[in-house]
Amino acid sequence: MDESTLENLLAWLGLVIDIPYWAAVWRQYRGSFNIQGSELIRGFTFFILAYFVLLNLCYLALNLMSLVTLYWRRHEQILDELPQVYTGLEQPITIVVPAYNEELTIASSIRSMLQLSYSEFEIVVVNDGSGDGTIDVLIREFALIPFPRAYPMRILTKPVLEVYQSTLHPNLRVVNKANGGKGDALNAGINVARYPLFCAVDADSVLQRDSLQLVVKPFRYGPDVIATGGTVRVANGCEVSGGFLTRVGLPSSPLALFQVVEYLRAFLFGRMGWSTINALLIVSGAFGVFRKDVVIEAGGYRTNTIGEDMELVVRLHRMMRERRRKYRIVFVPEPICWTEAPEDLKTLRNQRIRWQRGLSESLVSNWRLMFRLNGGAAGHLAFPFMLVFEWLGPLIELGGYVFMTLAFFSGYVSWYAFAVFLFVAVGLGILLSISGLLLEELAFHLYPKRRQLLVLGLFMILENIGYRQINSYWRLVGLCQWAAQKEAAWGEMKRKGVWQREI
Amino acid sequence: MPTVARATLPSTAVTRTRRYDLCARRRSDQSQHARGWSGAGRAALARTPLDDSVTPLAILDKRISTTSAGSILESITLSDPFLWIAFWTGTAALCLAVVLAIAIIAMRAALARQRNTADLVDWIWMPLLARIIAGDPIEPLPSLRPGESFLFLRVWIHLQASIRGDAALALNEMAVRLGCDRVARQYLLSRNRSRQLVGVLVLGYLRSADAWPVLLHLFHGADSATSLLALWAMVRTDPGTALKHAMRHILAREDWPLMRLVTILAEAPELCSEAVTRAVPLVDPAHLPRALSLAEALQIALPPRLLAEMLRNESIDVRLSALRVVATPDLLPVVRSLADHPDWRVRLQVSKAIGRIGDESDLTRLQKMLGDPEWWVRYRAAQVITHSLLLNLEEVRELYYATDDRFGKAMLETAIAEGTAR
Repeated sequence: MDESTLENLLAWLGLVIDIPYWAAVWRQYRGSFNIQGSELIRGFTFFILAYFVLLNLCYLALNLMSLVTLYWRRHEQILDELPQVYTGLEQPITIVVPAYNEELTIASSIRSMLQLSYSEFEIVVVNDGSGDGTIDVLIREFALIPFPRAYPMRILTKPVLEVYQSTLHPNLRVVNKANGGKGDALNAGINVARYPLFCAVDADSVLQRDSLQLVVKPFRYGPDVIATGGTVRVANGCEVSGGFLTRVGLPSSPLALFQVVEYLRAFLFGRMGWSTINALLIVSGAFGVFRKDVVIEAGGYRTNTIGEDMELVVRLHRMMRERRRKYRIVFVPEPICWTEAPEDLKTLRNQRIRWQRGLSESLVSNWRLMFRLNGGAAGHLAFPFMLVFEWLGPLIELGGYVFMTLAFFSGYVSWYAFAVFLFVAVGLGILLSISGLLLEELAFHLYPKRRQLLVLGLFMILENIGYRQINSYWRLVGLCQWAAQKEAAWGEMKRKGVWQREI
Repeated sequence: MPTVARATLPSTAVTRTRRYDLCARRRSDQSQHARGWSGAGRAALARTPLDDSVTPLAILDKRISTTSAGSILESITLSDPFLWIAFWTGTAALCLAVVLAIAIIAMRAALARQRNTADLVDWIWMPLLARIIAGDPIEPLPSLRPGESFLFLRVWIHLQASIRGDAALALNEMAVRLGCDRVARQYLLSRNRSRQLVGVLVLGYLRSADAWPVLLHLFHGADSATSLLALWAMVRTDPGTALKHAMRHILAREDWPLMRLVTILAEAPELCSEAVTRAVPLVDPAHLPRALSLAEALQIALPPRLLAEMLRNESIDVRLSALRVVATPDLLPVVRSLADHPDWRVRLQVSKAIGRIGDESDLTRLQKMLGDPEWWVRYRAAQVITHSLLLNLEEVRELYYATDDRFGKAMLETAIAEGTAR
């Protein structure tokens, strides 16, 4: 390089990093928005744009981390394909199934769980004061008899009325207790559990025969692992026979299709990204495995929250960090648990409101995690991310859309500024959705048909025009309800289950 | 598209002094901004004589932002740097989305091609493999094309993992005739992890001594899956040498799951027993619990003298691991001495150990444990009483009725019910 070229290069470099110079440029051109009005409007517009860009860049970063992990794991597929032999050293598991008013489906769910392929496990069904005939169905279908109730009451729960043992299946027990909510039911199941690991499963979850083997795998690698989360996928459109998934398909309902896309974009690879840096703050209540002694030490599930699954995980992070103990909470990306997604707006709305409330409760009750010096990635990255982008996200996102629309129509914002805002918001959203589909193709290839790919691609675009915004609105409602301390309710899930066949 | 003049490198360097001069000039024109951002004002500013060199400031100067005047093209410019950045971010995002979409389509096409090749390999080779397994010699054997090697070896490995005996040997012979050992050695040196793993698996099943140096190198690597697989291949090839070399590492590598190690070491149980027994006294104290756990998993009978030392070790974890391995009555006195240990986990393991090696004189001790403050100790003691051969069912019931302690009574009732349920 000759001297003059070097000189010019240095001059340009100096230009780029010359802060006073750019400050002067800013002062020069701050009016270029053609905004007639206060600096506040301009500042808010910049903030909204920066927020959208930052949010999507964070998700992209998580997807990138997931990509690295998936690429690495893909190479080990040859080992996973080999016949698996039980050594008898596998850690036994207790599957805890909380049940409330599940008389129609509980028997088939339990029968399918009894067929899971694992060396040693037991199932503890907790009937949480159902108002219907759940307990009668269980007694009848599984020939239950009363069982002596000598178990350690490590976590206080609502009164247990009776413990039953199945005479047909030695590894099936049922706890009949007074109603106390899902968290209370899980705590009762933990008290009764015999084994060092327990797996919290929703009664309506559809598992695969090797689900337990896959979700327990990380525990093999040492006592550091205290919890693993299973991937929950949308079962709508799939074929289920004998309680197990036999064919993966796409739902026909547009609402369910949006949720498939959403699961790929945010729930699957987002969580996987956090897991790579041991910052996973959510293990789905539909399917997660925990070390029993650690959960008991943490006090079990909270009963006065609606998001007991996330709250427990955040509390585990906080506890382990406070006690300076080495630990890992791992996300298992293989599709191992399928659940029915709501196909009507009302149920979906209730679900999203509930999730936002659960998030609020989890973050607020464990806020100390963020300020710990040894908070690690969980406290210094994941927690602030959740706070800013998930908790306050609906407020900012929806506020941004409303503000920009109003400002545009009021003439405070030029049409191109408005257009750029929409362009960035939708463009980044589409990029994020497609990156989720790329990872799905790379890792699992669950949707092999060309038509399925096209439909997913289309809905990935459409998701950003309407669905995400409605979601933000519901989440905002959830946030407001939490703030107003309005009483939370699970609501009723309208189950269609048309893809399920009778055993 | 917005009109943005491209920057050209100045013929002379723009000094900091010059830039500040420009800034000062801009500040003096603030009054123009106070009137609002009129097109005339901007145009006037743009015409302000500046330095002849083209500076970034001059580039920005050329952008005109107006809503009331100017052409449509002029009206869709992005004069604000943040808008400019935002616009190009959105554009980049959409372009990247298109690229990813193309990548997905390309992956689908590649997968389809791979599936076709795999189907072809299955169609050609599965019948031949089935005949080889059945003991049917095949002459001549077709040659394996380079593009088919990887897929063929995957099928071959899967079959090898499922069969034993003469069928496995026949598959090995077939692989050697096809030159798979040579291919596998090439895979060992590959950077592709999948191929490396396949190479190690093939050479392990072939028990190829030629690959020993490379396997040893992989064994010492940081990657858990590859190093563990290399150990497996080495144990299959030459178990004595492998265990002699590897035992120290086996006990130290916490990232190797115990279950997987047990599967590997079970290939050579006697040699493994000797190697573990030799290694345990010499192992680092921090790894002693792991060594004892391995011994327990492999059901290795460690010398009583050695176990007695472990039972007297200061570390609770070592004592717990040693208690789990205790299997001879020689150690009863030491085990009994731990029955009142302050740590409930030790008392629990003592009750289990008594269940394995105890005699009738331990019944009193177990009855006392029925009243232990820790639930799990009471539970295990009750299980030992009801399920061991110390008492028959009638005697257990008598004991139940004779027990005053209600916790002990409840525990016995539970243990009896569990036994009945099974």
